[in-house]
Amino acid sequence: MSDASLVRRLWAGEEAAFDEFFALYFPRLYRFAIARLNGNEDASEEVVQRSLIRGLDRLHTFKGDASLLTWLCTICRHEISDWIAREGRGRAISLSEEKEVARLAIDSLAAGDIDQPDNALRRSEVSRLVHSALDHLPDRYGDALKWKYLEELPVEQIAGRLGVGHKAAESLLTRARAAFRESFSRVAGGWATASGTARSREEP
Amino acid sequence: MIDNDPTPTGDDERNEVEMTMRLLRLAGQPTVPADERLVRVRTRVHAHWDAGVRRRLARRRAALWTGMLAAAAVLVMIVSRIDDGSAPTPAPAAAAWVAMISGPPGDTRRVESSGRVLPLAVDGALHDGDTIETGAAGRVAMRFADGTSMRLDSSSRGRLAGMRAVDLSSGAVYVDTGGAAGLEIRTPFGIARDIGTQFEVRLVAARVRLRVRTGAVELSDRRRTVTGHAGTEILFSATEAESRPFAPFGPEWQWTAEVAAPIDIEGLPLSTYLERLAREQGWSVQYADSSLARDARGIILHGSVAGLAPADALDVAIGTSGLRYLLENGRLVVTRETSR
Repeated sequence: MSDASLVRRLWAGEEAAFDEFFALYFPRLYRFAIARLNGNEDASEEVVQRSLIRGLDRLHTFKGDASLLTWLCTICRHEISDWIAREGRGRAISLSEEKEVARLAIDSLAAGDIDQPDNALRRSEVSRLVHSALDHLPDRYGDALKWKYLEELPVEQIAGRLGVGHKAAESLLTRARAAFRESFSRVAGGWATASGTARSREEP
Repeated sequence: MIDNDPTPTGDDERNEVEMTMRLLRLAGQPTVPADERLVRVRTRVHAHWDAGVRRRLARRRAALWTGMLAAAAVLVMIVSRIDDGSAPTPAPAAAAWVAMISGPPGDTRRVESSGRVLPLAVDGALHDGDTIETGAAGRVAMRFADGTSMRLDSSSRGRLAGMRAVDLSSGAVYVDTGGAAGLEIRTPFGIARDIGTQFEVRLVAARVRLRVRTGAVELSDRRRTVTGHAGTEILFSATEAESRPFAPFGPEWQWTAEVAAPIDIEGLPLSTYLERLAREQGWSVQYADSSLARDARGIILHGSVAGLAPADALDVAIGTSGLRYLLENGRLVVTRETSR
């Protein structure tokens, strides 16, 4: 299902499209918000609710230049700034500051000192980047990677869960890793390698 | 550990595997919003979206009418010349009918797709796109053309989507297809498709709970399909699909019987009455011997048990037939007076 098709169905008032939209984007936006609001769950709920409402009101302005998730994240970023300004708590972190924090975290990862006790903030940043990268992947890719590398399921079992054969599951895992690498490089500005950090082009 | 992994063919791929694994383990499981937050936000966002859709539809209709008025002025000239014996515009076909309503007046209602709110009436037609809503004390039983019975519990909301699908957005429904197949109960967390059965679908926090009384039901979302068989309960959400045994009878099913149409026993064979009552209650019927089963088919009931609780109705129907019964663990055992 393409973003454009989902937007058309939502605009037409199709109930199933709303279900799909909410199931897909609420958890993803919530993770986006909570990572930028110091774990404040109430604030994240409020901000995400406002973002979804604003997004639905402005669906007709969605051009499809970026993905629907990226578009919604942009709205959410504004809502986060508004919330911080309204509540007078701290200040919103700009996109360029976020990229700098991400760069430091990736350098630490490449240097192998991310596990040092005084690098907790960088570990938390890497965690945010990983989840953000996963959120930008198709569900099947994200699931397959989590089953494989977090739950350590054998390929046979992953194939069963995906309802495909062994070979197809292997192939899907390969594609999922490549997609993850690309997605992570995009959100983090680079990909850590054993010999250092491979930087990707700057995001617009 | 990387078991059964496709063998990396080069340094770059090896790095990709290792780094992917390292990153995912460092990140751990993603934050998942609590169920109550999900339900709260969904309810508010849905209400806002729904109101927006209705406003747009109303504006579109108003614009259409304005445009049509000019055309109508011309058309009326032509229509007036045509013999007025043409058939009236047929009403839209009913998707279902109201079979029974319980609860205080005003606690059940029908919201048309245009947004018009109407009270429900027994035998009233329900159309594609109608939303049926019940308050804290209201319940509604509906019947479809193929005989399928659907009951909406209190504090529930279900929208008829065509002749064979219902969008459940809150509360619970109970379905008895009576052998017909193909009714879909669509929820935000998955779709339940019956395979000729009796089952309940309830939205509980951010999950859908399926209880299957007889037959089987498929429950699926975009990624998975699980099948619930008679006597099981499945808790289904984006992250889980947990199945466990669940008795097809007992107090948790009681609400479904409370809004069931009463069984008219006048002229009904005792065996038929017991089958129907047992189906409503989730019991199995067993006769002490085969000759008693035959006799039960020949015993014709008279009178009425409307308004009686199942146990009292049984006392009346079986007691007046010179028989006795024992109800234990969902099994209704019918015996002769002397065989107990």
